[in-house]
Amino acid sequence: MTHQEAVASLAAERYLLDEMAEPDREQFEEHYFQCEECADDLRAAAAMVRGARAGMTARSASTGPTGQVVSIAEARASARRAWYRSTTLPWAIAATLALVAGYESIRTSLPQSGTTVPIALEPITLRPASRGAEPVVHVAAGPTAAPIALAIELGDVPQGGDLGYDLKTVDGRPGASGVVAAPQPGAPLLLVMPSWTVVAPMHYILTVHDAAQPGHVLGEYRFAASAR
Amino acid sequence: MALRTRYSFDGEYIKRLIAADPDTERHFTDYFSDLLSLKLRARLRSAALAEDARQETFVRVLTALRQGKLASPESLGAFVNSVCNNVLLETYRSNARATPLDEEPAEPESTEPSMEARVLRSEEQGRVRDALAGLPDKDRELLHWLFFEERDKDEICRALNVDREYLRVLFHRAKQRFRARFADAAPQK
Repeated sequence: MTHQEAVASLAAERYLLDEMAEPDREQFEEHYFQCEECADDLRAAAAMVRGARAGMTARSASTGPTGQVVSIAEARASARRAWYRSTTLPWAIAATLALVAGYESIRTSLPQSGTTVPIALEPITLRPASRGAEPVVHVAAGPTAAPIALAIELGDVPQGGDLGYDLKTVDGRPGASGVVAAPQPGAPLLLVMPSWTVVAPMHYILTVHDAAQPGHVLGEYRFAASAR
Repeated sequence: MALRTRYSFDGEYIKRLIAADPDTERHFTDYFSDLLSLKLRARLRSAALAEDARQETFVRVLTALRQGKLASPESLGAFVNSVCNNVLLETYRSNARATPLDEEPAEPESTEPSMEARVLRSEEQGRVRDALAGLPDKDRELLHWLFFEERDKDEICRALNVDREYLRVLFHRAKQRFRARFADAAPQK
């Protein structure tokens, strides 16, 4: 592929939009590794794409209501569905799914999927950050993507009380937060979140605390989000 | 419109690289990092795997250079690409041996932020934010749909009443406008 061909065919655009067949990708890669102009173009474009993926293209910073899903999740959800802006109920339902993700709740977290049948979820078990390797949560894209199910191993939890959770990226960007009912002793907390709550690739930290005593952290859980 | 200091990949450059000249090494890794990441992230779904492959590529290229395996200085870019291809193939094989892709094991524990997060934390973050903020609303909206919301492209085309070919043109224009602003904000070296 010559530089002229690359420019004329909008090769960089097709490459970044993932619209190239593998042989074309390879040809373009062979080219841009040797073409300083295309390399410069792609580097700038890569920075642009990273910025867009990090949410820097949002019209305004979203702070969101306290205790609800905010920032990344809210921006994504509100931009996708105008009707979502008018209510926090779907988020509250999604956030309060504990122990069992019932059919109705799952349907609420899949507003675009149109599915009317039960679906099986495979929860990713999160253990305290000090134990074992960082689990990987595979995140599917698209309106029909299944929600993310996290089974959170808890230690001592307040009996009959509520738990607060706070999801952030490792560099401190808020993802989601909320309050859920504490599970029975010994049972994991099952948290089901819409797939767009978690952006891949990214490393996340989920903190669970006693809702009555926000300073009392019950556990910190790390996981990596990877695109499916 | 160069976004960084230009060096020629000539014999002198290779000599400095072999001699571990810090400026040349920095340029070399800066120059190829994003290119390798773009290539690897499109093929490896794990950020950690892509990062490992990128590092492995650099190590192998530098080792090969020191062993005099580069045919000509001008072919350095092609050489880096071909080493990366080999690393990719080995990564595929090693992962295929280890476990099926849909049963990928947990990645090693890491307290390091992701590749994207690290890059965005650097000084570049401000430049990217400023350059994006300076784009027309329609460009930002398009980029937001494409990369943040990851909307289906056909859906975007319907929303904009354009075909896929013209979507590429719109993306091209947004990219060019971003690049101009990003280059303007580049630190002088």
